[in-house]
Amino acid sequence: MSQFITVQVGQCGNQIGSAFWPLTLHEYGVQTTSGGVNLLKMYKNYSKNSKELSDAFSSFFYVPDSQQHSFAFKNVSDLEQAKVKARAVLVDMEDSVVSRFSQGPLSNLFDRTCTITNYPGSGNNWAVGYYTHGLEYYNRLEETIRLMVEKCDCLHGFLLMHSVGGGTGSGLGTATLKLLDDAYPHVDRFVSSVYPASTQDVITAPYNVLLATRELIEHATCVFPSENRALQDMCNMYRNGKRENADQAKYNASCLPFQDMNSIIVNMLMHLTSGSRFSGSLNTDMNELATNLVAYPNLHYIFSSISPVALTAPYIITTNNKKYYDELFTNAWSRNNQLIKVDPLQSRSLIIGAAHIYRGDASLTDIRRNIERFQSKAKFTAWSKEAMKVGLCSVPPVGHPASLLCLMNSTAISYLFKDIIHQFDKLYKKKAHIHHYLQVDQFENEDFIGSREKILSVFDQYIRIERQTPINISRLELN
Amino acid sequence: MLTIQFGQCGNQIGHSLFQHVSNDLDSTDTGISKQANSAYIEESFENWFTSLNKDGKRLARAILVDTEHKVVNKVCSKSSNCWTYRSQNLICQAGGGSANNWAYGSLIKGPQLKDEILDITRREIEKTDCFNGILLLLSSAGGTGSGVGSFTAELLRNEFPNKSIVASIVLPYASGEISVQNYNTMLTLARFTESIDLNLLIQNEQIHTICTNILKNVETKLININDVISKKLCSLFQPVHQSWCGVNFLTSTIACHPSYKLATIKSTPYISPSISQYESFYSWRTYIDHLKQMLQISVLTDTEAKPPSNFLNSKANHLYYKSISNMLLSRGNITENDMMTCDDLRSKNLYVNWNSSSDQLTYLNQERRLLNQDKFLTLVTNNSQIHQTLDGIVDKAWNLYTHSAFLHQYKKFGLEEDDFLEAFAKIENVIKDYKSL
Ligand SMILES: Nc1nc2c(ncn2[C@@H]2O[C@H](COP(=O)(O)OP(=O)(O)OP(=O)(O)O)[C@@H](O)[C@H]2O)c(=O)[nH]1
Ligand SMILES: Nc1nc2c(ncn2[C@@H]2O[C@H](COP(=O)(O)OP(=O)(O)OP(=O)(O)O)[C@@H](O)[C@H]2O)c(=O)[nH]1
Ligand SMILES: [Mg+2]
Ligand SMILES: [Mg+2]
Repeated sequence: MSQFITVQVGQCGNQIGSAFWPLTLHEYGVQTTSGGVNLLKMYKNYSKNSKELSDAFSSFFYVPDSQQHSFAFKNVSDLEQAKVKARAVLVDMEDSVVSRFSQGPLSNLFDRTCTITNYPGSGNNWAVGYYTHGLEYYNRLEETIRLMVEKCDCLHGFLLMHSVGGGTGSGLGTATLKLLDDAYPHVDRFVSSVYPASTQDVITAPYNVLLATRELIEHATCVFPSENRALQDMCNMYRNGKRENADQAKYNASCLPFQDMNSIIVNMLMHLTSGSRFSGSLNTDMNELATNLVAYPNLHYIFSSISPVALTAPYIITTNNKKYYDELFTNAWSRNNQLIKVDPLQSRSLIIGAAHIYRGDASLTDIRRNIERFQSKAKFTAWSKEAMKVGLCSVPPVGHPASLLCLMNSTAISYLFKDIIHQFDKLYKKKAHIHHYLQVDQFENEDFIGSREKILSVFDQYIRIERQTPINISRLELN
Repeated sequence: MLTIQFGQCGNQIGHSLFQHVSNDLDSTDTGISKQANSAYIEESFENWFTSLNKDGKRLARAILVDTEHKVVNKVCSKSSNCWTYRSQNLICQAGGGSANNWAYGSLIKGPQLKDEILDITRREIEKTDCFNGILLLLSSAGGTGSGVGSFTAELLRNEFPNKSIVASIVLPYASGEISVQNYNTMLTLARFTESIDLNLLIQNEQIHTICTNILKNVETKLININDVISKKLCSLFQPVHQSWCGVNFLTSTIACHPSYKLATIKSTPYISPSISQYESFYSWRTYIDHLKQMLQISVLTDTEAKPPSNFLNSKANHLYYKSISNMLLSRGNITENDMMTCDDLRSKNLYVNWNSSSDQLTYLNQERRLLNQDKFLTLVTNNSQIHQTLDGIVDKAWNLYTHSAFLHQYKKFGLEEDDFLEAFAKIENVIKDYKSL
């Protein structure tokens, strides 16, 4: 079974992790005592997947003596008894979040040796994270990751979780990404990056975002950006009672700050990896995503949206009608379900590639009809209308009879890049806080300039695709 | 016959196929004597199975190849009481598949699996007294079936230059399954038309329409599509009366000219299981007529996806695709009141003029019912229609290629633009040949 190593860096990365592990265990049918997830009901019949679930358990978890255990773990003490460890590397340059892991109910899930912490953080400074800590911790990171890799017999990919607005996740996170690229060039690197809201909570965020984005362009296989504004809006739906779902509202109310938002990212990541973990009649392994979505080098920022957003279904759903499937797809295309605020389907943008990963039981007739709907709804380049991927995974998410993950490579991402440059320019023009960066050993003004150039060039690439006139070369003629 | 199933599609279809064969062996409504039936069973068993295992299950004469575990695990665990795969014949890497990338499959994964594939194939062939050839099952759109399949095709051709090899290749829906499905399909067909004696092309989209229109299945799933495909293959490879229609025979009759190695399988009638008891059957003549209509040019809807009707084809001057050769197999009882007349399928206007008329249509029959069905007919046809399908694929692949889309994914594994051009040229050639019939 394909295995993944999650690398969670910085406060945000580790907080996503702290939502990730209980929800993952919940999906595998393991009871955790950590409150929240128990409020999420399992959908009826979910337990019929138990064989499939236990077969896939080793995707995220390492079980020593795996022969001896049936992988049918019921609760945390089962895990502890079997010495199960998460395939996770926890990195933060302050230890408040990571120490929550080591005290919480799941504390034994994490190997002490896979935790790298320090004090007192990177001061919201990418340069400190990337250069100062990046160099100082290079060997330890490399060693820790190597040990983790050695425990995998079928490593498929790294899942990096971080924010790009701060210092550690942004700087050390991208330094770690580069390390992975250098040391494991053939293992896919999927990155979930939290972009800050435009109303910056961190003053130096525009610098950090710009510098991190360049690294993400250069070293990630695929980047799945999310924005706190978008996540916040999705959570508010339940808070304001716009979507009736008592269980979800209760779960959200039980969450620590950010945890409700992070759960949305986690949900996306579980769908994303579902095809590699579980079987399906049109199975989609993770390495297929890049083949299907990335048509040109460097253009690997992928829009993601999930449907349904809630982790648990508010009522019993009848799935045996067309309307149910069509709604599932329609919602996934709605901007309300997008993890970032930019609408990938806005009128001026073109779709360069799209993938629909469906979990649950569906007929090809329903899928084909919706793919055709998508092809008539979206705008495409001269060649990309055909560039479409469909995956069917047989195991639905725990709280629903079915779900859909929609991934799009859209030229609309240029708005994100444009905004990154714009925010950077505003700050850089005033030379605000620059000295904090320049005083860091090895950081040079060239880092700013080079990053800006790189992002601009990717921006241009997208714009060129939008404006490209179709190439019409007649097919080969033989004589 | 040795069956090798590649990738998700090949393995799922292979499983369905063996299930159908097994069901056919166990079917009770045969329409023939006990004695004749046991001869049929014996012959069929010899073709598809090697022996019984200790639980009395038939052991499939098959090799399973994939670059990831999940499909093969699933297929092997779908247990049947009657048959099973041989666990030594699973060639399955623990990798994450071939990334829907022909180059990854054929240039990286194929060579890794080479020795194992050769060893097991040799072993299986040595075990067989009277070896009848190899059947490859795969899809052209993904990475494993297409890539590892192409690699293996070449490998087997070099290793067994005198053995007949037939491939059954599933072509994807016209669009929207895999972004690079047309690249992969084009690269696959370029290799297979080179190395393989006969390629039976199956289009998912067309089979889907059969499921919807004839079988009235509004919720068609892959399983239903595989049922139809399996039935086609069963009716082709199950024993027939006069001679053995194995891979050897098939290639020598259908693919008699080296430039024309593509064929499709047309069948009739499809009867949905729920209503089969009440269905009244038409005469053989009606079905023959139905098959003939499937060869007409310029019908807007696919005739195979329309039920046959008693409204006989008026003798109007229809235009037909030119066939090089066709093979008709009928399964079911032929009586004086319901004679089989396949003269309609021999008419001159169906064929190219350079193939001698005795080679144009081969007719085989089997009185025994296939899977309890009163009558079932299958026409394997090597005709000019296929150029349209290929044209559509090349059009789309060429469009991607001229925009340089996705090329870096292939270059990464060593497949260069020249290799693409070479494959394009090969397929353009095939298209031209078929078009000029
Ligand atoms: N979605 C989400 N965003 C978060 C979370 N924690 C922090 N953020 C965002 O991340 C950015 C700040 O980055 P942090 O992750 O706190 O910083 P860090 O990586 O720990 O770096 P330093 O604190 O500078 O060492 C801000 O934009 C926050 O809004 C979280 O749990 N979830
Ligand atoms: N008829 C039919 N088509 C299938 C089946 N499974 C997959 N396909 C088709 O096969 C194509 C996808 O190729 P797969 O066989 O899944 O790919 P693979 O050979 O496993 O290669 P990778 O997964 O890329 O390593 C698509 O066109 C699917 O429609 C099946 O069971 N029946
Ligand atoms: Mg911090
Ligand atoms: Mg596969």
